[in-house]
Amino acid sequence: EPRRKGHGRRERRTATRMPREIITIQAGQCGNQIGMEFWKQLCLEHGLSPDGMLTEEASAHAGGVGDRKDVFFYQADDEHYIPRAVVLDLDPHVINAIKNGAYSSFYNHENIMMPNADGAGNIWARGYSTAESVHEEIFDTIDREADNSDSLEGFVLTHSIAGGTGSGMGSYLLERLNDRYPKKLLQTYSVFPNQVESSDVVVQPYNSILTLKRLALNADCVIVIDNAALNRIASEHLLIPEPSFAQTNSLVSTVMAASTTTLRYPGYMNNDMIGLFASLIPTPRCHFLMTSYTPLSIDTKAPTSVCKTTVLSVMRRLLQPKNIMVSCPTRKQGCYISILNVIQGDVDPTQVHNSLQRIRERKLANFIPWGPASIQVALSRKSPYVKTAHRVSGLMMANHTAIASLFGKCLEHFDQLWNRKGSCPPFIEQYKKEPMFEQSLDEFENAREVVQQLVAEYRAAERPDYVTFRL
Amino acid sequence: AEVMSEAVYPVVQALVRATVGAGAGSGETAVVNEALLSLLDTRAQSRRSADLHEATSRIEKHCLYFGQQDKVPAISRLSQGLLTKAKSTNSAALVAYLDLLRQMFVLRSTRYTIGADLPPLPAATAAALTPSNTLAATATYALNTLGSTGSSLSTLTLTGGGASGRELAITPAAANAVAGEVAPVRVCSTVANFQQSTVGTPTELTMLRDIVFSMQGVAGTVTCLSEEKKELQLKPAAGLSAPQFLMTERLMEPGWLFRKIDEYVKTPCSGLVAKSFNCALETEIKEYYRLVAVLDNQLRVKDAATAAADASGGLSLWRLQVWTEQPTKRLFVLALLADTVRGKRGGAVASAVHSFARHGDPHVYAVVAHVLSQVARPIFAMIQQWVTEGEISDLEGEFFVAVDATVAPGRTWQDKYSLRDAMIPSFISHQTAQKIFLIGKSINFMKQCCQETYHFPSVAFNAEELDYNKMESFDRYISNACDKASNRLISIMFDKYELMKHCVAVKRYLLLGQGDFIQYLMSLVESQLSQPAHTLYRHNLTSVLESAIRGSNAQFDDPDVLKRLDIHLDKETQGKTGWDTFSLCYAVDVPISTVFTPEVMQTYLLIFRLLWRVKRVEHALTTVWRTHASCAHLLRRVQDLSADLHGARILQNEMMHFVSNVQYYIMFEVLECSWTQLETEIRQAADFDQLIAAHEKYLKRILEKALLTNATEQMQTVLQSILSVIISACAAQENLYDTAFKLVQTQTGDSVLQEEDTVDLQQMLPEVRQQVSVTAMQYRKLFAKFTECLSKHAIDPNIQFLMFRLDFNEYYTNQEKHVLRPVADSYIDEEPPPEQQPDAAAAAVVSPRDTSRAASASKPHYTYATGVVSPRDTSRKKPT
Repeated sequence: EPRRKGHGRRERRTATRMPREIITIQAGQCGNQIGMEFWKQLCLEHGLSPDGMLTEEASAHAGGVGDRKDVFFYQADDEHYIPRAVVLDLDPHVINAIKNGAYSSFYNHENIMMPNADGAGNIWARGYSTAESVHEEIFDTIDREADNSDSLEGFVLTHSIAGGTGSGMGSYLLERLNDRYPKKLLQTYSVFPNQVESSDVVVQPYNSILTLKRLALNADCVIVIDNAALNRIASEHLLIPEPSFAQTNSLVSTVMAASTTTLRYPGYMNNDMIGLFASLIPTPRCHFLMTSYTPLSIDTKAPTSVCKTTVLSVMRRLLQPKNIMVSCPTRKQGCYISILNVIQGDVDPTQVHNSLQRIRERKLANFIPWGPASIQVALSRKSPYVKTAHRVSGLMMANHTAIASLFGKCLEHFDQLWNRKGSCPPFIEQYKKEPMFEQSLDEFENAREVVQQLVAEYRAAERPDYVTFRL
Repeated sequence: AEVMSEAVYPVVQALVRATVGAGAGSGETAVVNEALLSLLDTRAQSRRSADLHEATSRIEKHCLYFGQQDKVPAISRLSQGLLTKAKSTNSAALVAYLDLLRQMFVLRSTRYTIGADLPPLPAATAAALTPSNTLAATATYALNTLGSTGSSLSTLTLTGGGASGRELAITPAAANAVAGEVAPVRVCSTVANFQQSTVGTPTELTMLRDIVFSMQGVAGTVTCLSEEKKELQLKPAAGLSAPQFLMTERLMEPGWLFRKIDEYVKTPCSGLVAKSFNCALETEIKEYYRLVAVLDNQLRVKDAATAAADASGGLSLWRLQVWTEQPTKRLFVLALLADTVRGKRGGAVASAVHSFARHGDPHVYAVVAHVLSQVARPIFAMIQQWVTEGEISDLEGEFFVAVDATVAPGRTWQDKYSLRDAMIPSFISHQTAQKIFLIGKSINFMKQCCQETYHFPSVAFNAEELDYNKMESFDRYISNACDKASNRLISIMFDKYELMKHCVAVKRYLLLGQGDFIQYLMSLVESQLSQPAHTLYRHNLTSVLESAIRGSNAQFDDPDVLKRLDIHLDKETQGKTGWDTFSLCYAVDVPISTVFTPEVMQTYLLIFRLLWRVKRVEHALTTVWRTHASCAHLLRRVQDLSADLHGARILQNEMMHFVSNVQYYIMFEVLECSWTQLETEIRQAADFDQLIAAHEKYLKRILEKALLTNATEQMQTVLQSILSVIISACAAQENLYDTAFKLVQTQTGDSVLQEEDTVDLQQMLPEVRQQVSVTAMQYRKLFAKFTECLSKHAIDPNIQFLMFRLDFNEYYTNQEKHVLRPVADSYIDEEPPPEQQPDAAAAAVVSPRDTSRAASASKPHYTYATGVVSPRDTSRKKPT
């Protein structure tokens, strides 16, 4: 017999909810740029306008379209949606651009923090120590956001590892968040510099190694975004000869949005971050994930052909190294520890099995020899507000041992710079100005060792005896 | 009779040949031609015995009317020939002879002379006439012979007689026997009576009067009522000559038939159909009365005429015979109908009458058709009411749809109405009857359960104009009406009662489709459900459900759906935890409950339990993962535990892989694929029955694929044990992390513990390790058992899907190749099966008894599988 008549609906408005909120922290120029792109994408997918109000189309669906906005947003008193985001930068450039742009009223202005307008000058140590000096202010904001949530799931940090602010400040935040919120997940979207071409930031190897150490020790999950791969995909794949940051960033935002789609459109499984990562990351240190997305398009004039998309074709393309947003030889070297494919769109569930079968027959993915592993497939709904030409699209999040080659390159570049002839390593003066390096440069050596160990663990994970692995 | 016609046909052919021969030889051209024509006619039209009988008797009649005297010697010659043959004790010949005799008497009586050349009855024949060898038996034999060896009989007659015209005498008699059951007996009794009739000949007038009396069932001068007062009989001592006797007896047949019918009509009967059958008989009887009245009148004319002069006008025995021939046939059919219908009710009466409606004889058909139209009238009236209003007014239980008024509203569709197969009139095909049944049931259901009025879309059929042998138009009409009613009902179910909404809701909540809701619910009820079942309170859980709805996207669901969602707790709580008794349920009411019957809901409950359990295990695993993730960076500092932690994570990965792939399997291969099929089948369902069937098929498919059927019981048991072991393993691992964390704290000096506690910690460590390794072993052992079970059923594609998923990277296959089967088979068998104490399993492992046993048994296990445990083994030997 049906019960609970009449009441209920009214109560629900005020009652506590359990959205498993995620707070996004954007640090530095790069972090803010990709963060902004991510929010733009979310607004699009949830039918929100740049000021956080529901678009006309979206307000037609009073109960939503099965989406959960409250994971990433909360509602202000006037009902407009405010992102759970903390914006940090030491350079006013990007923040001013946001403040003067279409999304000027999007963020909560209290959460935009610029403790020092001088910039970090691409020095990790400066970013780190600046963050340390204003940590009370920063954590006031973060704590406020955390208290604002009913059941905080974790934090997402967007940053680059090469510059000064994102890497230094980001590193500091990772360490502190880990102490302060030990039970919360810490996920990052970390942009790795293009290590093929020479960079204008000479100290990039230092910054990278120092940040990598924190990513290895303090983060629970790092989604690696390799600038080199982004450029390659943009130029080779999407035929944009010299891709701009905006263009490559839109690739990143696509991936970020897709990787959170199961959280925002709940289904049978993978409805929270932990469910997403628990099966992807079997051992705690091997938590660096690579992604690929297909079919990709950038909403510019660039001609992108509409291809036939089936579950199989999408899953095949996702495994192709050229589509993977990290430049490393996934086919030639190493093996997959785990794979999760998030397939969106109009999918016949019977196709999934057939596609998996085909992939195994063709041996398109090489897996670890020390334990069971498979391609997990999550079917997710597509936002009704975003119209795409493709029937099916897919995101792959994969844990592949070849990612160690990226760290290997970081080490290589670091060593080249570190071991340059001279009494002391070049460009080190700037670091020595900061408290951490005043006494000694041991931190560099220490960070190097951590990264070295990480590479070693990934190498070990390629062998059957990984089960007996010990650091 | 129809079967006989095939056998008789060769005889007819022989007859035709003989007649042609006779016509050419003896100059009886007129007779022969007539006979030939009518026979050919018969042959062209029908092969039925009745028609044959008709034709042969017509030939006989011709012989009688135009019957030439010179035919008599020919027949007598034939009889002589036959007698010769009969001496060789061929009983077929004897029968032929008897019939011949009758024929001769008939011929003789025409002339009112009894020839001197009548052959005396041979001894053999006399013997045949004795009671011990009854003539009825002989006649039956003749019948059989005719049936099986018709041609040999005709051959016999040909060899028996010289003249070719003689077959005429035999075949009609035989056919007579075929046409009516009464005939052979009558033939025999005739002969018997003839033997006795000796004295005093009444006048024709007396006989005529007596016959007209007999037609009304009244005894006269030459007739009397038999001892049983049932039948009129000729008085043996009435002094009739043999031909007179025979003739009178023949003419008394209508009277006999009339009495039979009248008696039937007067027997009280129940049921509208039977009554209308009686009514039809009565109408016919009225016709018969009219005939009798006319005859009576004629008789008076005859009376007057006799006084005046010669018998040239008015009634004679011969005329009477001709005039009563058709009515007699009619009465015969009616009597036959009455006999068949006797004791039957409702539709069965109509079926009985209809069984004569295929008669080839147009006269017979006309009679039957008339009666049938009367009989069918109440049935069609009931059909009419049923298919237009969905109502039955059938007090006597004659309709082929039975109603059970005691059925509860929830089962209206399934159980209230049923089809009575015996009551389906044979002119309505079973298929059409099914459709009629469905139409009325649908209309009734719409009225009773859906509060919908349904107006029958087209003009109803006209029962009067139906041809009972051509029911196509009726069938078409019914199937058209059936489609309309079914479509209407289906659209009511979909539009007004939103069947699909409920299907989706059940899938979302009972089959865990609404992931965020389920997850939230899980985290809310977790602590409560770990308690013993009898400590659970429904109202607590109900409020938890409320919060889970509010806290998840379920809040945006239709309020109607949400208010139906509820908690179900098993009544049986003995020795169970909340996990075992808790489930969600979904309340439905009429008419949706017709699809979601209590049995169906029970099935959903079964599926829910499995999904919920798997979900719970996943939840436990992610919780452990989170625990480790949150302290991983700290635990790194305890070097002597790193191997244990690493091993634990590797095992966790295996278990996680298992659980998530079981979940993926259930999600895609089981739920989603079945759902896709359900959607197609529901769209294709032509009527409500098919709709229900589609849904039941959907559930059955899920049960089968989710290994919940009896056939896969073993696998299910192992699966459940694995899930239990994972829960214990998770507890053991939590314990490990906890201990490790405390150790870290003591090492770093953050600890709030006293020194003795630290010592305790060190002592506990081996025990904690033991727990982890024992659960690891149990898990791997059970997993091997599970894959073994799966491989036994490897032909089943669903199992293949599951196996494929579980061993996607062929890790287990390779493992089997490299490693011998585990040595410690006995180990697990000794262990109490974990599924019995799912949540106590974790606790059980810690008990010293288990620890010691596990320690002794764990040694051989290290050779098994990956050897994960071996480093831990070495670390354990280190002094701590």
